[in-house]
Amino acid sequence: MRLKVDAEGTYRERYLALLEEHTAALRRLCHSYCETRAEAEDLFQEIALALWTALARFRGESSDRTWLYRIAHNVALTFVTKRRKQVEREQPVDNEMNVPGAGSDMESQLAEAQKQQMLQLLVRKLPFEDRRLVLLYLEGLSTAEIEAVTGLTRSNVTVRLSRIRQRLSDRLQTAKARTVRS
Amino acid sequence: MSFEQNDELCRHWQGLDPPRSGKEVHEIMELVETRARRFERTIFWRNVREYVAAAIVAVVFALLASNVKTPLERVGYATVSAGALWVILFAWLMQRSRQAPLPESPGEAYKKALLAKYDRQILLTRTAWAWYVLPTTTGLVVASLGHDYAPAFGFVMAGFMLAVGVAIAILNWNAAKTLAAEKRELQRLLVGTE
Repeated sequence: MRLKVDAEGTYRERYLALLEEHTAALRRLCHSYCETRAEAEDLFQEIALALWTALARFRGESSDRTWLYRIAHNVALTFVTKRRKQVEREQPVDNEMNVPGAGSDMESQLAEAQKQQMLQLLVRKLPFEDRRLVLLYLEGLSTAEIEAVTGLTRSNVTVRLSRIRQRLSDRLQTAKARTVRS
Repeated sequence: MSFEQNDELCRHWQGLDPPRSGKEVHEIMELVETRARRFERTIFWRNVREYVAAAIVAVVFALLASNVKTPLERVGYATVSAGALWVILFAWLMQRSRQAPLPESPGEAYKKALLAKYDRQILLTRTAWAWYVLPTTTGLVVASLGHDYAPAFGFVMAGFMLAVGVAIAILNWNAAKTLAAEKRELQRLLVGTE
């Protein structure tokens, strides 16, 4: 990266701000695409590197968030393609994300934690394309933003997301019912 | 139709706290900055090395061609020299026309560019025997056969050059197979939907 000395500080500040703001979301994304913790860390660094390189080309044609998610998901696609055959190693990443309880008592905390873990597992089991869509949705991107990130048409995004979201909700309900019965 | 972004699923998801690496954000930035600089340097020097090596081969074999006794040997060395120049030209043309997929492209455009990149790399490695191995190996084999030392030794040298050429071609062919497997994996990922 060849930056002018006076612009270097600004570049670094901008990069830091972007990374700080989106670190948690990027880490959730990495853990959703990877089979192991080490792999997720590698992917995070690949995304961080791609962001650093691409920032020099960023002219603000899209929002920071759209731009960042495009890079993250595209880098993840390349990463997963190359690393697919090397996954039988190290500890699996399943259930590794911490699930802080949102409720006030133990019971509601446990229920919340179970739902979060279940959601995490269900997302990871989705095919790549569906996972990409649902991850964008779960991180709170609007349909227009998802359209800008993926390049799919709005109607395509809406239909597919509606189907996936419904399926996720159903499965979560089923899992919840099972937990209550047991 | 637009989705309610603050629904239960989003709330659950955004409540997840993924494990961290123990590195602060500024440490990650420093790491990334170093990696980016090192990567640029590596690519630059790799290209310089390849061009310089090919140029040296072209010059040395051109000089050899002008100083040998037998016509067959001269033709052989001249072929190697021309082959090295051709490799420089071909690599430069390929590099100029290369369009790497930019990660900031929309997903669908990125996928197309990535598939095109695989096609290109597969084609280049699969045909390396023709544009890379064949001219130089042919030249070396011809020069070995044309040398004025004992004919048996000339045949041994020619056989050795041929074996090296075939080995390089096989390595490239295997690299093409690995790339083709990666491309299939990518296609499998892209069509997979519930």
